[in-house]
Amino acid sequence: MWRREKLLVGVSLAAFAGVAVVFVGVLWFLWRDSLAAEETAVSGLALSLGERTERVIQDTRDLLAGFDRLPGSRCSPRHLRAIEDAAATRPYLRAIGYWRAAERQCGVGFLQTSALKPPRADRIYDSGVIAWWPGPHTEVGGVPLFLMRFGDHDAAIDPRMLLEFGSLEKRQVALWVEGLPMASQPLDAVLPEPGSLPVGVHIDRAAGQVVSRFSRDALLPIDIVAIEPFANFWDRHLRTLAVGSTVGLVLAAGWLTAILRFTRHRLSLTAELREALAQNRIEVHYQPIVDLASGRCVGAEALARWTRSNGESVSPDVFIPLAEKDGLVTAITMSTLGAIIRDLGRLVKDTPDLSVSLNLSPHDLRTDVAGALTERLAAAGLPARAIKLEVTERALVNTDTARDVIQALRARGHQIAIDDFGTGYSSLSYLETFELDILKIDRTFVEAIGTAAATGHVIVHIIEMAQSLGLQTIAEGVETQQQRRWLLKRGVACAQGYLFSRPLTPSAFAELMRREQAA
Amino acid sequence: MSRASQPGRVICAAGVALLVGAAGCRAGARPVAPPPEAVAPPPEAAVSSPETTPTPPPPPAVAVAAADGFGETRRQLLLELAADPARRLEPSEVGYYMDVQQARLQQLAETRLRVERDESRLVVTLVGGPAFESGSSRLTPDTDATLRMLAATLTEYAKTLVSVHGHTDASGDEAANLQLSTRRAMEVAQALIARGVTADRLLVVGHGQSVPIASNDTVEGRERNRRVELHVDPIQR
Repeated sequence: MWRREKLLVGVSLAAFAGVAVVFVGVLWFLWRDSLAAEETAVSGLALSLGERTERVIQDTRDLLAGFDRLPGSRCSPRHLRAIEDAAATRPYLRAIGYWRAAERQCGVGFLQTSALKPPRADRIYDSGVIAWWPGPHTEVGGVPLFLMRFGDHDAAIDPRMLLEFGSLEKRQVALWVEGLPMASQPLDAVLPEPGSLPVGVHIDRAAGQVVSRFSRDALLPIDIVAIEPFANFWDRHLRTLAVGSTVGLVLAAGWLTAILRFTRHRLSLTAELREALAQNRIEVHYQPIVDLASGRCVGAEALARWTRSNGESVSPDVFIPLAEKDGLVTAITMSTLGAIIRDLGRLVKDTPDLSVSLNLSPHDLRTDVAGALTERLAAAGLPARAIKLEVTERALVNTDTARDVIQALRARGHQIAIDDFGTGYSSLSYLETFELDILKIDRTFVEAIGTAAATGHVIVHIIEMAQSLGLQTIAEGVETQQQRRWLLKRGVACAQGYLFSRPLTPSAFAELMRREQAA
Repeated sequence: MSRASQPGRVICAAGVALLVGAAGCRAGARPVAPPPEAVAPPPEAAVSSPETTPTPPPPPAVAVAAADGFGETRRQLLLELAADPARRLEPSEVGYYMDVQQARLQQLAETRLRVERDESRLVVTLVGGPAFESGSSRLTPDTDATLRMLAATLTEYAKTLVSVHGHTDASGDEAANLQLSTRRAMEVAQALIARGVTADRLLVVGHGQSVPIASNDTVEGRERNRRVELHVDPIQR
């Protein structure tokens, strides 16, 4: 039994481990998938931001060079219109100015007096382009601007417009051009310098955020740094993770629960049966066996009954196989015998033609029950003829021991009945090799009496066969008068069934016998 | 706009970058005549005297300083000029003023100017071949065009003092070289005046062969040493 339990536990653990591995695998895959999605999103973002920034800077430079090449006098209506047209079609341009040395002469945007002259340029290129990155000295209305001057004209770019993308999705994003901070979103976000970060997406556990850096060096060295708190990352990707893991978890939990419940039921049922046996709580009921001709009760079949401590009545169909598997069946047999002696010992002693049938399991026949049986009967002062022994047809198959045990039991004076005949595999010739006394006709054949079912004919053959072997017959499961009459007509000696009585408690059976004797 | 990725720009033989959009790299226009010092020792000073060109006498006097004491002279000139509020820069303006002036000079530099920055001072060197006709202090036609552009920028950015420093190589007589360097610096100063730069912004200094920037043992080194440098300082108090 313990091997079985261990096996069950082992199977459960293996199942759990397997489920866990699959579950972890699914989670790992989804996590990788989420990271890859993040990487794709941020690198795509970096690409479009980088391209846009390059385009804007190059366009602005070409624009300024074009203004210097314009014919005609400066600050003329024509000159100013060209500047206005350029500014109108470029929403990121906040101002364009025409300068003489360090004096702004005219232009669009800003007031003349607020022309920006930062004290230090960030880049002066060989080409003559000069640029000031956004900072305190380029701030107008709280917004640091990117300034570029080439020749006699300058332009102010609002760097926020470079980041004005719908796809930022609550990320904090910073744009670096030539290693200098150009813009960030939101405006006051403080992001790490790209030089301090590895390229790609990585997890900063300490700060609880996902940090991404992508670089691009086509026309200008451009870096994009994006940060988002785990919370946002989860918000975006957790739906996939959650659905995947929940489904997995529910399936795994359901399966595990089913296995564990089954195991526990089985384990606890066996343990309980063992306990019930130890405490002698297996009760025995008696179903009367009636002589068909006289209608008198000539005996009874002892039937083991088990009621669990929670009140649930367990059918022998359930607990006998369980007991057989766990080696408890002989204990049940002996317990039943004990109950018979206790309940009906006196009655049987006083009534010489009354006998009680005890069921033996195939397991009983493989061991030597004969000795134990004789011992108990002798102790109780009961003759062997008082106890008939019922064996199932299945118990006889392929067992020489069974043959020997049956011989021994008969030699001691017990009558042997074969139970459930016709439901197994034995043929008539096989049956002949055993020394038997009684054949019990299974209820399935009795039920078929009077119907057109094919089994209706089988019972005729069974009865004829029993008579030819000189066996007494007892019909089981008789429920109608029609069945009783039919059986009587065919020469069946005895019967049991609801027509006569259902299984009775010991006291009810004793009462029945008292009334019959009085009659 | 980084050096390597700037479109429309080529590096010319003399190592000065420029926008092709503005002008081509005119390496082919360089005079084919070898440097006079290399082929004609005795020193050019000896040859130049009989050939002296009758340039029209420059009306305004240009300040001339000796090589060893020009720093003090320059300080004095700056102080005098800064006395006029209309001609001086406020301290907050200096950075922007010199930045955009530098960018402007770099834009127009072509092959003939090298622009360097030392704090708030701009150092502009005439490079890319001899600035003067052989053995004389007369400007070559290429140099003339360069000076026209230089003068235009200096006129626009008028709040500066321009020190013109003349240098020669080490061939020939040291005293004669000193004279030649002064004469050449003066020639450049006069050329700038003739193109609109006011004389009181100019200071001429002749260094002779005393400040070489390359070895005088090679032809290339000597050519680099024969040069005129313009030091552009913001006028401020």
